[in-house]
Amino acid sequence: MKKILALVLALMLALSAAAMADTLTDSGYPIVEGDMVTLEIAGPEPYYPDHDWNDSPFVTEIEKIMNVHIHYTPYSADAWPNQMTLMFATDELPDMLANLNDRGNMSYGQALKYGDEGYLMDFSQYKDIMPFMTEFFKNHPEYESYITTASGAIYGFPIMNVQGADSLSIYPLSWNTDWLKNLGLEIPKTRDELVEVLTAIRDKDADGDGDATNEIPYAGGLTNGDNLAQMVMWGYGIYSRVPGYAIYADDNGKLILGNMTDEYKEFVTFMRKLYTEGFYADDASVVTGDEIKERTLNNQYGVLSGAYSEQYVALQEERGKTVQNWIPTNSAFTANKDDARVTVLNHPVSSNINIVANASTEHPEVVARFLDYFFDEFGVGGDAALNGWAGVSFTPKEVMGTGITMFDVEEQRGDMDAWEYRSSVACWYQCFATMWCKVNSNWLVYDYVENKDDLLDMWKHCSIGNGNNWRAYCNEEDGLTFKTTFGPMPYTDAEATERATLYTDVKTYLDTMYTAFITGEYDIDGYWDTYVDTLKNMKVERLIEIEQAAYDRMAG
Amino acid sequence: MSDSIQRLAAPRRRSKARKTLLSVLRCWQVYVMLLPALIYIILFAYKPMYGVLIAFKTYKMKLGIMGSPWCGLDNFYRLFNSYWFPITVRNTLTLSLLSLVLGFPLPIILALMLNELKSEGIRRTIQTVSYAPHFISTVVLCSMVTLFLSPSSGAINKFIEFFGGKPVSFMASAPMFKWIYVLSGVWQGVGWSSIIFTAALAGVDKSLLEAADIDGATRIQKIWYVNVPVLIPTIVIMLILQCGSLLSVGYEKVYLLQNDFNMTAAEVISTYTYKVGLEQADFAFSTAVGVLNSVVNSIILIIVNAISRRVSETALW
Amino acid sequence: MSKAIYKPVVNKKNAIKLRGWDLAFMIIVCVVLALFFFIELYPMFFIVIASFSDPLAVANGQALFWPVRPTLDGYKYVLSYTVIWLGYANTFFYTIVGTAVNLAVTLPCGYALSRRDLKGKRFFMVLFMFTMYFSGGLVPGYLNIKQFGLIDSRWVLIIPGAMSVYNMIVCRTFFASTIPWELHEAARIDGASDFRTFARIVLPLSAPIIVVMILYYGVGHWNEYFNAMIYLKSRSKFPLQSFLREILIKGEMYKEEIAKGMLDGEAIQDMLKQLDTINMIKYCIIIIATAPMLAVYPWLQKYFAKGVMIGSVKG
Repeated sequence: MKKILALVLALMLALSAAAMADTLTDSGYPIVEGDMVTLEIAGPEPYYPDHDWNDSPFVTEIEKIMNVHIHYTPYSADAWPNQMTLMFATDELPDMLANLNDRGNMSYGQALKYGDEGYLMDFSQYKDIMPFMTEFFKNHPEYESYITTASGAIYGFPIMNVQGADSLSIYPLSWNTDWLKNLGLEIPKTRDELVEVLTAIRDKDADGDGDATNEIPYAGGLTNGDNLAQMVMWGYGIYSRVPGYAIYADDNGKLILGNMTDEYKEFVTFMRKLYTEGFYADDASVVTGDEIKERTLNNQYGVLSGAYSEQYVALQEERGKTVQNWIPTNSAFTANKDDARVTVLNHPVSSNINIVANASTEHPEVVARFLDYFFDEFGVGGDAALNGWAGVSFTPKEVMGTGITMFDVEEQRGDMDAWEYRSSVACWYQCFATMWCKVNSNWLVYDYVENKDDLLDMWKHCSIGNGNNWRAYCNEEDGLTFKTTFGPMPYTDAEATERATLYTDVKTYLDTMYTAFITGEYDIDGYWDTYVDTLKNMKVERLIEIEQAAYDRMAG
Repeated sequence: MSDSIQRLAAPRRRSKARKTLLSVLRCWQVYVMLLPALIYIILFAYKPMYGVLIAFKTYKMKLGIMGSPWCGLDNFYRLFNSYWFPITVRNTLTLSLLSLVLGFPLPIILALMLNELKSEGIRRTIQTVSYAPHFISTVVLCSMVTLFLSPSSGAINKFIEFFGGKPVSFMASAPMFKWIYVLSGVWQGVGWSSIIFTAALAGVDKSLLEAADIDGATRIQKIWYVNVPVLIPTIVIMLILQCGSLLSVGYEKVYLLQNDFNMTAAEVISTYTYKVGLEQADFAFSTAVGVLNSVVNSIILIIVNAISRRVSETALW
Repeated sequence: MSKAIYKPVVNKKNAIKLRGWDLAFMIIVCVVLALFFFIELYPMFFIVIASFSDPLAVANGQALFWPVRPTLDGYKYVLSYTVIWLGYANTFFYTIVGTAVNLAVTLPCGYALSRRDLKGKRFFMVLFMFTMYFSGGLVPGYLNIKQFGLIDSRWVLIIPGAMSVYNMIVCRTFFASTIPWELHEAARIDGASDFRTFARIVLPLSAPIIVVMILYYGVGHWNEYFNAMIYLKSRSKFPLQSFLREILIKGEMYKEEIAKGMLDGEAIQDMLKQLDTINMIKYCIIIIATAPMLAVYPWLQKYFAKGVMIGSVKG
C-alpha cells in the first residue's frame, strides 16, 4: 500500500516536474536557455549592508554568465539565527541559504540534523552535473571526507582552504625587533631562550629610555586561547589549536585528549613559571583589547599576541608616535635547538557550513550547477566567489616595477575603503565561497613574490597588503613542519546529541582549570589526580569514544 | 435578600449552585471586564502552549511538535547527569537570593526617604536620575562595569589607589562575581523598582498623618505606623512574585561578565544551556531546562504564597 | 478637590521647627539621598562625557570627569543614519497605541480580579499566572502569529503583547489595597453599575497606578526589539531599537572579525577605525534612545504626588 502510494507520488512529482521543467542547457554556462530562472537566496547580512547587492556588478555578471536571476534577502545578524530556525520550522526555505559561515550558526551538527530530516539537498546526488566539484574532490579527497556525513550525504559546503601554508595559525606572536637589537638577543626558538628573552625585557632597559622597569615583556593574557601558551604547548608535543580542549590524533590515528597527559602537566607547570616570573602585565587576566591597543601604541610591550603588528604601525604613524619594527613567528618553542620546528595549521575547513540548498527547490539542477561554478579551483570560478572577475571588479596591474602583479582598485574605489569596495563590486563577503584557493586572495594583494626583501619593502611602501601571505611566506622560508588540527567530524545525530552536553561540561572545566593552575589557585602537583578524576567523572572517556568513532569514519 | 436565601435553602445542592450563579449574574459586568484579558491569554498564550511538549520529545522539525516521537525524561536526565548542573543551580540561587536580599528592600527604603523630602523639585530630580540607568542595555552596562573595574584604568581602582590601597582585579575573582553582578543590578534597577512604591505611597491617608502630628509622633513613627502599612500589600505581592523567579537568572548579563577566572562562580543554568545550544541547536534540551525552571519556580511561588496567606493575609490567590 | 484637603496637612509649625529626633532623622535622610544621588548620577554623567570624547581615551579611563578631545563624530554618525528618524516615528506609534491597548486590557482585568465578590477568582488567577511560567516557545508562537495573519503587520507589536500578567497583578494589588470596599457598596446602593463604578469612581482614584502602568508598558514598548526582529520583515516598520541595535551589532561583528584574523592588514585597519567610532556611538545611542523617556518622566511623576484622597471619600 505504502509502495503504491509512493509510486503514485513519485509519478505525480515527475509529471509536474516535467510540466514545469526549466529549459536547461546540457552542460556548462549559461545553465538555462530562454527565460531566466530565479533563485531565491537568504542569509545573514554582510558587513556593508548599505549596498543593494541585488544590483551589484557581481550579480549582474553572474546573471549574464548563467542566465539565472538571483535574489538575495539579507537578515540582520542578530535576527538571522531565529529567522533561519523559523524558515525550517514553517517549511518556508528559499532555494538556498548562503553566507552562513560567519553569522549563520549552521554548524555541521545542525546541517546533519536538517539534512537527515529531509530539508537539505544532498549534493552527492548531483555529482554528474557538478564537474568542477567532482574534479575538486578528486584533487583533494580529504576534503570530501570532511564534509560527507556518516550516511554518505553532502548537505552543504563549508569554506575549504586549499592554500596550504595560508591556513597557518593566524595568531602569531610579534617580536619587537628594535628592543631585541638593543638587548643583543635573537627571536627565541627554544623554551630556555624564551625565558631568557622575556627576563631580559623585564629586567633591562630594552627601549633605551633610561628606565629599566617600564617594559612589559608580553602583551597576551592568561586565557586558554593565548598564543604564547599554544606555541609552548606545541613544544610539548600537544598539537592542538588551544589548550582548552586539546584533542589530537597520534600517528596511528588514535585520538588523545592532551589535557590528561603528563606532557600537559609539564606544560602547565612551565606556564605557571612564566606567570610567576612576572612576564605578564599585572592586569593580564582582565586587560581589555583597548588597553592593550593603547599600550602597544605607546610601545610598552616586547611581544605582541594575536595582533597584527602592521595595524599598529599605521595607527602609530597617524598619531605621530615612534614606529617600531615587528617580526611575527608562529612555531613551537621546543626543548632543544635542533628539534623539529612544528607549527599547527588551522583546520582547512571552516567551522561552520557556508551554503546549503533546499531539498524541495523547484530547480535542483540549476542550484547544483550554479554552485558548481565556484568550485573551479584553477579557473575563473574559484576566484569569482570571493573576488569577482578581472575587468568587472578589478584591473590586474603591475606594482611599482617590481614585477609583482596586484589587482588594483585604488582608482576605482573613491571614498570607499578597500573592503567596502570589494563588497560593493565583488562578493558580499563570503556569500558563495566554497574555498580559499591559490587563485584567490590575490585581490588587493601581491600575486607573486620573488623574495622576502621585496615583500617587506613593498609592505612598507604600499597601503595595501595581505598579512597572511607574508607570514606564510616567512614561515616556509624558516622550514617548518606542519601539523593539522582536529576539525569538524561527521558525527551521527545521536552522537552529536550525546556529545553536546559532554563536550560543554569538559570544555568549560578545562578552560577554568587551565587558568586556575597557572594563577596558582590550584596547586598543579597536589591537585592533578583530583583533576584527572573529575574529568573521568564527567565521562571524558565516553566523549573521546564518540570523537574516535567519528574520526575513524572520516578517515574511512 | 436573606429571605430568598432562606427559601432556597431546602434543596441544598441546587441552592448552592444557584447562589453562585446568582452572584455571578449580579456582577456580570465584572466578568465582561475580565473578558478581553481572558481572550488574549487564551489566543496568545494557551493556544501555542503545546510547544512545552518538546521538552519530553525528540524534536524533529519536519514532523512538527505533535508528530515528534516521545522520549520521556531523557532531556532532563541529560541535564541532571551534567557535572555542572549542581554548580549552576548553586550559582543561580546565590545570585538570585543576593539580588533579592539587596535589591528588594532598597527600592522601598528609597521610596520612603524620597517621600520625606519637602522639595518637589529635588525629589523629582533624584527620581529621574535614578530611573535613567534602567535604559542602559545589558551589553553597554557590562562594558561599563568592565571599564570601571579595570585594575589599571578603572575609576574604582583609581579611587582605591588614591586612598593608598592596591588595585584589585575584580573581574578575575570568582568570589567577587556575585557582588559585581548584584550591585550593578541594584544600581541599574533601584530607581525603576521604587516607582511602584512611590505610587502606592500616594495612597497614604493624609488625615492619618495629620492626626499623628497632633499626637506628637516623630517622623520615624509616622513612617512606621502610617506609611509602611500602606505599602505592605504591595511589598508582599512583589516579594511573592520575586520569590517565584528565584531560578531565573537571565543569561545575557552573566554571559557577558563571565570569564575563565570567575567561571566557577559565574556559570548559571541559563548560560550553561546556552553553551550546550551552541554545540547543537537543540530545542528539546533548552525547553526541558526551561520547563524544569518553571516548575521549580512555580513550586516556590505556591509555597511562598501559602505562607503569606497565613501570615499577612495578602496573597496572589 | 485635592487642594482644599491638602492644605491643612502642611502644618507650617511642624515644617519649620524640627524636633531633635526628627532633625537627626532628616539629616540622615538627606545625606543618604545625596550620596545615592551621586552614585546613580556618576555613571550617567560618564555616559554623557563618553558620548562626546575620543573613544580611545574613554577606553583607557582618561575621560572620567570631563570630555577628552571632545568630538561630535558619534552623534554625526548616528544621525546620518537617516532611518533613525523613521525608527523614532515608528516607536512613537508603537509606544502610544500599544500602551493604550495595554491599559484598556490590563486595568479592567486587574480591577475585576480585585473584586471580593468575583466568583472563581482563584481559578482565574491561576489561569493567568500559569502563562507567566510556561510558554509555547519560538516556533509555536510564530505559527500562531502567522495564523492570525499578523506577520509583518504593525499590529504584531501591539496585539500579541496586549497584557503582561505581572503588570496586571500589580494593578490588582493597588485596586485591592487602595480602593475601600465600602466605596463599591456605596456605589451599588446609589444604583451605579459595575462599569460605571469602575469608570467614574475607581479610575479617577487610581491616577498613580495608571501612571505606573503607562511607564511600565510605555518603556517596554520603547525598548522593544525582539518581537520586531522575529515578526517584522519590512524595514519601514522597524522601531528605533532595531536600527540602534544594527549599529551596535555591526561593532560586535567587527570585533569578532578582527579577532578571527582572516582579514588582510588594510581591512583590519578599516575595521579598527569603524570600531573606534562604534565604541563612541554606543554611548550616543543610550542618550538618543533615553532622552525622550527621561523628558516624559517628570511630567508623569507629578501624578504620584497629587495622591488619592481616599480618606475624604470615606468620610
